[in-house]
Amino acid sequence: MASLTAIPGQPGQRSGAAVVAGAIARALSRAGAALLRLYPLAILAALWEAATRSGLIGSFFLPTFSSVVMRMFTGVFVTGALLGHWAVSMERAMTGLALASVVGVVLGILMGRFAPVRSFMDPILALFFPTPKLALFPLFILWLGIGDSSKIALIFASCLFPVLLNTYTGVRSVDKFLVWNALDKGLSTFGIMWRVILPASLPFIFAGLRIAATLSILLVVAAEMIASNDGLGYLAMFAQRTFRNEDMLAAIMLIALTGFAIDRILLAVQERLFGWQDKADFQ
Amino acid sequence: MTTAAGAKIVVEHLSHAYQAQSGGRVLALDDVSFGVGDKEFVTILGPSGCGKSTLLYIIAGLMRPTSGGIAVNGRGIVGPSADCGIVFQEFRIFPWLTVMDNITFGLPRDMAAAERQDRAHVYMKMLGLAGFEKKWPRELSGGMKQRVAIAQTLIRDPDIILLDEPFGSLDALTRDELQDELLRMWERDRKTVVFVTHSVDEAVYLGTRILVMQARPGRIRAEIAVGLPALGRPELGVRDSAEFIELRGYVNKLVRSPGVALHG
Repeated sequence: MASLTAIPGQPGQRSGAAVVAGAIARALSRAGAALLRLYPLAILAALWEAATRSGLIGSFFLPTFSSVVMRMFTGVFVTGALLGHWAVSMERAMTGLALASVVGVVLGILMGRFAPVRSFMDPILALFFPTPKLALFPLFILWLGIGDSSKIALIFASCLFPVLLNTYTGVRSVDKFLVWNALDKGLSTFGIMWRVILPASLPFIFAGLRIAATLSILLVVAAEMIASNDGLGYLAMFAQRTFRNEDMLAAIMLIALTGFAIDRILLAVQERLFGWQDKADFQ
Repeated sequence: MTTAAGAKIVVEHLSHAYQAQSGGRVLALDDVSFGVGDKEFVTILGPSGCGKSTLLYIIAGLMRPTSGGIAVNGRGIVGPSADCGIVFQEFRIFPWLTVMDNITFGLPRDMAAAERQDRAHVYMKMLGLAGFEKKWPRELSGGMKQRVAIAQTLIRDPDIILLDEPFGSLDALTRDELQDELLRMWERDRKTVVFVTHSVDEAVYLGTRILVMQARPGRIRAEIAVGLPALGRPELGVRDSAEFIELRGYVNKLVRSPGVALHG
C-alpha cells in the first residue's frame, strides 16, 4: 500500500532555497544594472576630486569630494549630527507634501467633474499658481510663527499646484465613453469617481506627485535657510557663515541624495502601478 | 411591428438638437418614431452624422432627448437601467483592469468572489476568452477587446442589448467571425438586440428588421423586414445566397439614392 499513499515527486518544481536564491540573484543584478546607469555621476565626482586634489581649485572654495562624503557619512552613521536635522527637514517636507497631495487630488477631481467648482476655482488658481510662494513665506511666519507650521504651510502652498493641476488635467482627459460604460453597468456617482475617474487619472496624478515631492525638498531647505534653528537648510547656512565648507556641502549632499532617492522610489512605484499602460505612455 | 403591446422599446416623435461649435443648432434627430418588439434583432443603418448613435445613447439612458417620448419595457427613461446593456464602438473597456476584472466590472459589489468568477467563466468560454483572465487590455487584439466588452455587458443579463458599431474598427475576417458569434448568441438567448452600423452588409446580414436613416436632419426613411433568419444561419452560407445578395443590392440602392420616398 505504501506505493499508493506515497506522495508523487514533483520534478517540475524547484526547491524553496533555489527560488529564494534566484530572486536574490535577480535583485542583485537589477541593483547592479541600476548602479551602472549612474556612471555620469561617478565621472562628475572624479572630476571634482581631481580638481580639488591637484590644487586647481583651492580648498577654501571647494573641499575635496572624498572629504565631503566622509563628513556626510560620519554625520549620518557615526555622530548622528546630520541625522537629527535630516529628520526635522523630512518631517516638515513630508507633512506639507501629504497635505498638498490629499487636498490637491480631491479638489482636482471635484474641479474636473463639477462645472461650478471649476468656474469658482479657475480665477483663484490662475492668480495664485504664478505667485512665488516663497514670497508669501514672511506672511506665513506672521500668521503661524517661526516654528514648523509656517514651513509646512509654505510647502503645502507650493506642492498643491502640481498635484491639483495634474489631477485636474487627468480627470478632464478621461474618455467620456469609459464613464458612460460604467454608468451603463450601474455605477453610482461615487462609484464612477472611485472606480473610473481616479484610476484613469492616476498616471497624471502620479506625475504631479513626483514634481511636488521634489518641490517639497527644495522648499523646506529654502524655508530653513531663511528662518529656522534646525533642519538641513539651517545647517548648511550656519556652516557657511562659520566657514565650515565641508559641513555645508555634506548637508547639501544629503539633501540632494534624499531628493534623488525619493524620486527614484516614486518612479519605481509608478512603473509597478501602471503595468497596464503601454510602455510608451510613461517613458 | 411598431408599437405593439409586447414592444420592448417604443420611440415616439423623438427629436434631439444640440448647439454646434459654430453656434448653429444641429437637429441630430428629427421626429423619429419606431418600436422594437421582444426578441427582435433590429439594425439601424445610416451614414455618419445621421444621429444613429445618439438614438442608441438615448435608449440607453445616457443622453436626454430634446423632445418626444421613449419607453423601455413600458417605462419612461430617467437614466441608465439594468434593462439595457450597451457595447460601444472601439472597445471602451477599462485599460487598468485585467480581462477578468473588466468582465465582472458591472456585477454587484456584494456578490461573492467565487460566484463572480464562475459567471465570468461562462461568458469567457462562450466568447473564446478562456485563458486570458489575467491579461491587460493592451495585450489583446481589437477583436479580443470587443469580446471582453460584449462579455462585460452580457454578464449583467440585460433584456435588451444595444450595440454601437461594435465591429466597425475590426478587420474583415474578425468582423465576420464576431457577427456569427453574435447571431448564435441571439438565437440561443433570444435577447432583444438593437445594432447600429454604417455597413449595408452588416445591417442586412444581422437584422430581422432594418431601419434605414438619413442625415441632416436625422430621420428614419425606410423600414425593411428581412426574411433571411428563416434560412437557419449562420452556418448555411447566407452571405452567398441569392436572397442576401438581392436584398443587399436593394438596400444599397436605397442608401445611395437621396430623396426617394419609401414606406416607413
